[in-house]
Amino acid sequence: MTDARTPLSRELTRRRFLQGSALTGTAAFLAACGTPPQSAGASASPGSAAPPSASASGSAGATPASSGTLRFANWIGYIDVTEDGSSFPTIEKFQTETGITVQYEDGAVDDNETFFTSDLQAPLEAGLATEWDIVVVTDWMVARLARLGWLETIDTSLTPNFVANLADNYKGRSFDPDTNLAAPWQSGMTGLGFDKNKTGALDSLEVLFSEQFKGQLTYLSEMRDTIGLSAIRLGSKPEELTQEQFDAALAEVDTAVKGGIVRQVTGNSYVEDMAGGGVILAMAWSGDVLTLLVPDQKPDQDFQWVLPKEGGMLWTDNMVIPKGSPNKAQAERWIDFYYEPQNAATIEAYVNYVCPVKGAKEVMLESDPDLAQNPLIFPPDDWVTRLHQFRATTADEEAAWSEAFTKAMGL
Amino acid sequence: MRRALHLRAIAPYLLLFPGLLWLVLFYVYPAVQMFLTSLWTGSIDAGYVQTWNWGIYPEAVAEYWPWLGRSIVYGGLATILAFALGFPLAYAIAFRGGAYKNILLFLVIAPFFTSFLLRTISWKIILADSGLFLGPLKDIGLLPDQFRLLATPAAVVAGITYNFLPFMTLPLYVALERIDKRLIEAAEDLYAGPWRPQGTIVGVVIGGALGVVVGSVMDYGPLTVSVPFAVIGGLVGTFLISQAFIRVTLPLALPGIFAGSLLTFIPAVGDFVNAELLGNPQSLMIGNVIQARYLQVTDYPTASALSFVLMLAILVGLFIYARLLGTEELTGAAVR
Amino acid sequence: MTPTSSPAATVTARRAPAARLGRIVDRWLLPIYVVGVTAYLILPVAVMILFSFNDPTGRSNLTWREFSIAAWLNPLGRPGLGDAVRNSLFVALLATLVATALGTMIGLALSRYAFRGRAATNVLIFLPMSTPEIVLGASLLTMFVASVQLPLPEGFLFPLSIRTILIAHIMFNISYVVVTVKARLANFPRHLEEAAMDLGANEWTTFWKVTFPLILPGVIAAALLAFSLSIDDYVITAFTSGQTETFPLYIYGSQLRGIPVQVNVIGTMIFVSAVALVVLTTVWQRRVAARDYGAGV
Repeated sequence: MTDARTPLSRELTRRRFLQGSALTGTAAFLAACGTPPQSAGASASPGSAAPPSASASGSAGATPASSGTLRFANWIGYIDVTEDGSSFPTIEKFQTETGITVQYEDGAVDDNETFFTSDLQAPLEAGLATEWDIVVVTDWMVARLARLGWLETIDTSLTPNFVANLADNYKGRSFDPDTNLAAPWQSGMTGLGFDKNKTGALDSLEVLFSEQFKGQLTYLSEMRDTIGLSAIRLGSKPEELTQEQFDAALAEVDTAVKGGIVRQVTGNSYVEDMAGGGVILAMAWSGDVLTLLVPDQKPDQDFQWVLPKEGGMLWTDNMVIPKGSPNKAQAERWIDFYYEPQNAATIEAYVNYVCPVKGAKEVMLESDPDLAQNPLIFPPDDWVTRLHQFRATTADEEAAWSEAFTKAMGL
Repeated sequence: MRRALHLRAIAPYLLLFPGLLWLVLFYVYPAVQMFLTSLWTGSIDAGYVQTWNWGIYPEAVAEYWPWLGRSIVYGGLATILAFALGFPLAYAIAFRGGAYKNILLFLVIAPFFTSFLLRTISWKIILADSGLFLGPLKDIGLLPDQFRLLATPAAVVAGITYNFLPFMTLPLYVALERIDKRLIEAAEDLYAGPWRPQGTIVGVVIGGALGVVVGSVMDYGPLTVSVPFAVIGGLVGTFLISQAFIRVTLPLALPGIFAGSLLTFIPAVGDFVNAELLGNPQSLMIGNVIQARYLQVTDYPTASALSFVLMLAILVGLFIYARLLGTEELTGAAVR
Repeated sequence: MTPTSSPAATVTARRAPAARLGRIVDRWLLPIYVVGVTAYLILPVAVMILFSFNDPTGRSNLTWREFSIAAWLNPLGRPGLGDAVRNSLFVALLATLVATALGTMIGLALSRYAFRGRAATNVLIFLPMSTPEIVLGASLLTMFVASVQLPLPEGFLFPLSIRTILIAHIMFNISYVVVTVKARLANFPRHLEEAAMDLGANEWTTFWKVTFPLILPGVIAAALLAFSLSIDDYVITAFTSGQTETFPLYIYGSQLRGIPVQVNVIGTMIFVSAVALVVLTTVWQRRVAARDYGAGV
């Protein structure tokens, strides 16, 4: 039973979080009251145990669900897991706190398009409920679902933590003007991933379009990432991309692909090719380079991720409630629970993406200062100004643009 | 036979009923729906309407024939390569396997009980640009630094060949194993000797022709590959092929060759994962187009129409192939 | 119509060189070739097995770090992995069983009887193999969803479940079984069956005592193909699974955040136990054979 392996320290960290989460319960309350985050963290001194904040922050009218089930479809590895892999601590905590049984499916969502077609589209089009109460999908898919009227609105009177602790840059997004359709789960950044030993230091998007690393670089098959970066390089803003700007960005991409500069257009499989050494430069997601490539790099490899000086893309995976969900109240209770900073911080410490919950950084400063200073989890202000979100597209644009993009990708 | 006469009339239908019922319920019915889908107009936002838009078929073919053609070439090439690799293997297991027959046969298929993705990632580790295999060759200067196997058409064809090799080998084995060895012995007595000079000529011609196709598809130039291929073909034809083999073994193995090439070619043409993971933007296949049309563009009519075009192309190919091989697989005309 | 009836005029008396050639091929070339191709087939599996003993520091398992049996001590140490593997094995075994039975029956009917609709049946067998997976999956899904309007028991086809996965897997496996079994049945020695019946055996006995043992290698090969298709199917399963997770779905999903070492361990276990099963069966069969017929063979 003696397990002398390294993750022991990580386990301790996580355990400390679990204890911490009960102790720092006031943080959410204080954050919800608009107290500056700094003091919120400070006031959460050990020993000052507070009741769960959902009840503490109180809400008039509707009562939160306290029984029933919640069917939750998420991407894999997107929530904290115990070291032996037997359970999800945060889910356990939610179940004990609320009496709601959670059917959490780790990896039910593999990719937005497949999940939409295989789990959402057919039943929703037929006016039936899907098999899920909460699904986690990316911005543009939220936009599509919202456009189609396939989402339940979140009753914000039942989710005071969500109202209070959602970071400001997520409020009133173009596809969710009233901030009541989608609750951000995690964000990530798209920038440059490279092996510094082979490429030297890089900081500009130019290298993705030049002959310098011909045949050794990859693009992403997500249209909004690849076109977004191309548009940023041309000086356009993905937030307000016009048709002309889209065409210009696409033309650059098309030339690079046709000219053989681009070796492959991939989903996440560029990680394998970078580890193997064939690909030395990629449009890359921040989390991948840090958690998948750097820890196991060979002596002659030096993997880096940078936010290009011209800027990079910010995308967000959101919790949404599909139309007709019979357990909407339970879903809302979960959303509220997630927006308690200590819960978000516990999950963040495991998944290492950008956290959309105010106050989580302060909780983390207390428990794991190193992680809290990580710009990939809490981007500093000068990064935030360089990060762009792709704007919501109309139905016609979505059809035309994805068609044009797949053509450029060789299809 | 005599006492079974009354049964013979209905026996085939009894045998067919459960399996065909399954296919009718869970294949034909959805396929008909899919066919109707191909004649829709609209989008997921505006909704789809049945407009009997037959024009979509010529449009889809006109737009996507390069991908269709590429898929048929890749699929065909993979089938031929799988045959070249699988036939000697099946032959050895069937005739010389002895006590190890079952174990050997099983080793051919067991790798495919594990995940496709794990196998492909393993290949990527093995064939990486500076990996186990290419790294040393580049270090001693046998290959240029920029040379790569991954993300090339060659990798796509090799990936398909690898993944469908058991689908070729098993039916070949099944057919070969049944051959009465005494027939071959008798034939050796009768015809004796190697198949010369025809073997040499046939070997060189087949090897060379295959080399030209492989070379042009893989961008290595037609001649670089065809010369070694022709030499190998010539050697095999001269030294390894006997008259007895050509006159007895090969004809008796025909049902296995037919079955094996179908089981390889049909899914290979529609394959998309190998092209996605091992190819580059210039080597994508019709399966990738259908996948992208369906999932990314949500253009269900075109995706469905292309599927039917693909199925039709495969069926036409099968008829021609069946005619060439002289089987009545598809025509079903005669029964022994 | 067999080529053995070719004119015997081409007889030449060059048996000796042929025999020598045959011996060289037999003794050296074929065994080396078999070992080579088998190694080629197993190479990626060997890498997979090797990496099941890896101890990566990060979340991916792509670069060799150091030897460790940690993952082997806790092979299901990922939430949901155990269920996924169980579901996959259940579906693969049952789908193989049913599809092999149904497909063998169709194969028998097609090879041995003349009946109306034979050509159409042949075409129908090829169609599922030539339909792209995504279209098969999507059209099945549409049908399952539409089935709520049918007078079926509640939840029979929709919501999706392991039942719908099974239905789909049996469907796409049938064709592969039919084609493989037919390769065995072509030119089947009918005289053996006729002899058995002349000797008084009924249809049933004749089938199990004569026909079945003769086609058994074909049936086994077909079952192996069906199993390998089913245990590794991703696309069609993704569309017909609903909340049910299978091993391939788990692996595709986990590629996003790094495939855990446990996946290699499970993959190794499936491979090794399958091989062990066959080796044991072979040994057992030889024992039985030795006991029944005496040691001298």
